[in-house]
Amino acid sequence: MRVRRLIALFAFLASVFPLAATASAQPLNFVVIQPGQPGSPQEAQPVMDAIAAYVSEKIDAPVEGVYFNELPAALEFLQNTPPQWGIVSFPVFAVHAGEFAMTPIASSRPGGEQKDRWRLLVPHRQTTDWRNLSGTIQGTVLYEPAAAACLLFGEMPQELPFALEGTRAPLQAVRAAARGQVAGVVVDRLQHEAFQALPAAGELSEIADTGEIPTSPVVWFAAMDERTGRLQEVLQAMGDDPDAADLLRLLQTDGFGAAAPELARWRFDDARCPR
Amino acid sequence: MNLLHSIKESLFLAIWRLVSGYAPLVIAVGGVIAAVCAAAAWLYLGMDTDHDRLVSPEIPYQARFLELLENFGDQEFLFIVIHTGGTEEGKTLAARYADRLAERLQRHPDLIEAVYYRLSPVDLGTGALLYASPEEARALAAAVGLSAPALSRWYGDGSLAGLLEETGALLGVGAAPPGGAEFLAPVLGALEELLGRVEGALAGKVVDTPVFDLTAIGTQYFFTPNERFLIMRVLPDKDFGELDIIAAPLALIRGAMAETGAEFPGVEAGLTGRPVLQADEMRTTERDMTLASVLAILAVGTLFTVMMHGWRRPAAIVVSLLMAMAWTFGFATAAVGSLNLLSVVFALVLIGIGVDFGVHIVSRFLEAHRSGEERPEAVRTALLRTGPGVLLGGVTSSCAFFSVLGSDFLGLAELGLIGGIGILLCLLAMLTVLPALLLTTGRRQTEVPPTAISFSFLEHLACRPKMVLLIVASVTLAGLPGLMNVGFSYDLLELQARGLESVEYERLLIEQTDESTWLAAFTADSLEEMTALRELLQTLETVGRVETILDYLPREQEIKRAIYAEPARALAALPPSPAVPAAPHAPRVLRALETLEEALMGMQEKLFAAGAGEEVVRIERILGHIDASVQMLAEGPDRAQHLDSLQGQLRQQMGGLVDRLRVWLRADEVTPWDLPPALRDLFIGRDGRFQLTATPSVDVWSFNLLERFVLDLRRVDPTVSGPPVVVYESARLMHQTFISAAALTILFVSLILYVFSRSLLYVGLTLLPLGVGIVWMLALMGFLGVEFNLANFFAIPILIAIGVDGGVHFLARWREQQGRGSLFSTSTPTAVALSFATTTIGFGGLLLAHHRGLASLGALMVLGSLSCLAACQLVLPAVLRALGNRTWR
Repeated sequence: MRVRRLIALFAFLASVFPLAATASAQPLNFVVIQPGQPGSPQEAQPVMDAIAAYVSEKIDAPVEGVYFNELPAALEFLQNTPPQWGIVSFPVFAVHAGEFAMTPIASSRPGGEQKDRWRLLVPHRQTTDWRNLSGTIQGTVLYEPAAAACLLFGEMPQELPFALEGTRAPLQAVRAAARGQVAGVVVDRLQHEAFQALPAAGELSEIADTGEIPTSPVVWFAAMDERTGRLQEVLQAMGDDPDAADLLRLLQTDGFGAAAPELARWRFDDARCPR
Repeated sequence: MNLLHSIKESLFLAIWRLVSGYAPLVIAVGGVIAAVCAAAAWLYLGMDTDHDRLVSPEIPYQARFLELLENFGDQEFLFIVIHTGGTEEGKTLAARYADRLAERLQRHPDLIEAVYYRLSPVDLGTGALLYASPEEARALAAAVGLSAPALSRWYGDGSLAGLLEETGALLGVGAAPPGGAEFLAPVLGALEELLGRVEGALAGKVVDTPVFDLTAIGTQYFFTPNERFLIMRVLPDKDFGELDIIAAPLALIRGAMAETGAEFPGVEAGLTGRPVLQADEMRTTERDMTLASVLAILAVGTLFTVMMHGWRRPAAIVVSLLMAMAWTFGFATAAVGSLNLLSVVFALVLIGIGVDFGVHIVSRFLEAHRSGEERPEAVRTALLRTGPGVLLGGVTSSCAFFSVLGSDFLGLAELGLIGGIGILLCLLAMLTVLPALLLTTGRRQTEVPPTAISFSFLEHLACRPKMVLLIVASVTLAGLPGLMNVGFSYDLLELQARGLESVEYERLLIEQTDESTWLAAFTADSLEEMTALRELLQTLETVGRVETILDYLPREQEIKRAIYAEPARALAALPPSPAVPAAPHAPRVLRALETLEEALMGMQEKLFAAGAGEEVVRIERILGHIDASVQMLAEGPDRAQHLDSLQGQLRQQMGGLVDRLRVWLRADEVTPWDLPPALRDLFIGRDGRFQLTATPSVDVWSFNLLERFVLDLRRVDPTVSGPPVVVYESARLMHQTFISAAALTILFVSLILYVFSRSLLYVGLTLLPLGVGIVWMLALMGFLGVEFNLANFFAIPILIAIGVDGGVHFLARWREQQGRGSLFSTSTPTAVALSFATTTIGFGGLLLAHHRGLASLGALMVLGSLSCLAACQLVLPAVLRALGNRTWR
């Protein structure tokens, strides 16, 4: 009797172990979606590989990462090959969080800052009221016009007297605004820091801003499992991990923080600005 | 007693005969000898301001220190502290300031031996790349790997256009320049320089300096660990023949700092280090002494003129004193050959003490003259009656100086010898030249005997000796609590003037950095011993940073050499040198410039998005050069020929750069003996032994903490040396020397007084005013919070010397009167008061000194002189009166 029970136990263990091994070896792929960022996905791929290698070593699972700086391609990828997690720009999260079941699990800190801020810059002394503008406003953060319009003006894009246009050449957009070729340019916090060093800084004035808004969140797609917690731990411990120092330098950040609680407020599921 | 008395009388009679018979000859002979001595001193008397020679080389700690200096050279640095504000921008600015300052200083190798503030790869020799971290090494290897195909293509071409094309292609490929963000700044720097040269060449400008400056890449500046300061260590050339041994280098450095400061108005910097502190101390001391001297001369001159009724008699004293000083200079030249930092003050000592002998002679002369004696008779009275007291006072005063003769403190021993002999020579001058001058000057004028200035009011007190002694005893007892509070402070920084830049920066170094101007030094026979010693030292709480030559060796050399193996092979595959290119062709250069422009604009967008404004602006400047070049070439394609020379330079420089990289990438393991000589000499001695240095983690300007530091170090290695040990031991030696000098002086003085009088009562009475005066002085010091320190302790032997003098003269006059008449109706109390007054005034000027050590010396001398004066005038007459006839027998 005892022998039979023992054999049964071995049989159970023999059947469970491969499963367990398979479970731990499930890929933990990710996507980085930053519409409007200059450069090409090919150029960014070494950085993705570095993130993948780091996370893979920490979580002991195969990891691959892809990068998109064009929105349609990113959305198509999410539809067809949904990854386990990703780092998505705040506007993408605000508009598509519901559609792709994104749950924020951490937040990025670009340049070491926990908050972002977008500013509308227009030629100096042209106007101090955005309602007087017409034509086109460009910016890397404008690929999701609804999010940008709500955050900057509290209106939906169709209610604005000008068009919002995404660009992957923010510096050219600044120059175009300074030359009066476009009505204005929207810059994020990092771009604004760089802008202040430019000669064009004296030619443009800020007439609207978003106030402090969340940075790009790290999101988990679909239902969370125990790996979500492990990933959260790994990401949030990166700032103190000497092994992550080079990677963080590459990402131009000092680590990842907890997910911003206010992210839940910014959802555009019903195509209306949240109040 | 009678024999001594007879000898004394015969001696003074002989002197009187000489002086009265040959007065002009005495003056002339004195003057000629003085002139010869002064000339000899001017020609041959040297100045030795080397601190290291102030102490006997036989003492073990000093012997070890001298051996250390011999083995490793002078490592007493000046520290230039440059503020960075802790920001990257501040660090960059501080580095540029340091570069400019170093450039200015290095133009004067005669004054500045070395400047240490950065290490560039070129300084590090063939192993330079082994100093990179493994991550940097990998990034470099990746960069070389990525660039190798482009380099290979360019080696086959060698042209300027080819270089621009390949650069554009490389920059257009990646998100960051090859090798990562660390390489961005140097890459952009080189590109800016290159494109600026292209524009310049097209405009017809010729520049010969290299486009690619390797010293600017990977240079490490010596920032403190908190990155708030950049420290430059400067080794000045010392001139031990000058009182201020670094006067010229210091003036140069301060001038260069002022010029560099004007160039970088936002950069704050200061200078410190032990040599600077000493130089500043010397300068403030000199300034303070000058002020004190001027005040003293004015005050003493006025006092003399009033007390001695005119200027002739004071002038006679001064002439006699000057002769005595000249003779002393002559003696110093013949006997020692040079003056040191301590013996240089002998002249001041002679002025303070020697002038008193003259005061007594002239006072007695005036008294006698006033009482109706003719001039020669008055001089005779002064010489025969007061002369013996002056002689005794002079001999006892010289004891204070001779008491340090056997000291290991050679500086002090030399001062003792020169000062003691000087006092005796002053005595000689005041007993021969001064009477001769009194006999010869003013003879033709009709003199009205001067009115007496006496302290007759004190006679009323002396008449009530018991009451006076009761009050004195009460006051002394009341002062005892103050006396108990007097301590000894070894704190050297507290002696310095407040607000001095060097003092403030010394404090700043102590409080905000792990840098120290006090390096303790150890030696080890082998690297193993050195490593073991270092580990032991690092466990000590009082030790801050331990520095050895091992700190300058690259770590993980094997790992990095493995990383470099592949790029080394890639570069080895290149031909020995780039091909000789064809002359620049305008269309090709234009295409290359446009390719590069496109790549840079793409990179600029990425940098803008990443917030890197400075780099964006830098690329903007590069694009400006490209636009201007494109325009010039488009307007005049023939201008391309102007690029030919630049193309040749580039080919040569790029070839040199690659050659150097080839050497660096293949470098063998770096050992201590491979380090650059400037670094190696700091840590490897002439005998091949190794030096370790340890900085204190505690404020060693506080003596208690210095003691803890030194004792801690000695537990690890009893042979430890360096400035902390030398200062610690020297301070202790100085303290011991002063205490033994004070004790020996009392002993010698008592012996001399006893031999002179054969009476213990006489000895006790002579020393009484000194004893009471010193007790009062100590009580006052306690109440006023004045402590003994290394600067003012020297006052004690001087006070003993002059304090005894007062007693000697009072006793001599009391004996002469044989108990008859009033002591206060004579000139003696006035002369004693005048003597103390000159000392009080002379040293009182120091109370205004910025140098707190000198000010405390002034305070001690003023308190001591006034206390001894009061004790002389109040206590001794009262005691003499109380004891009655016994005292003059």
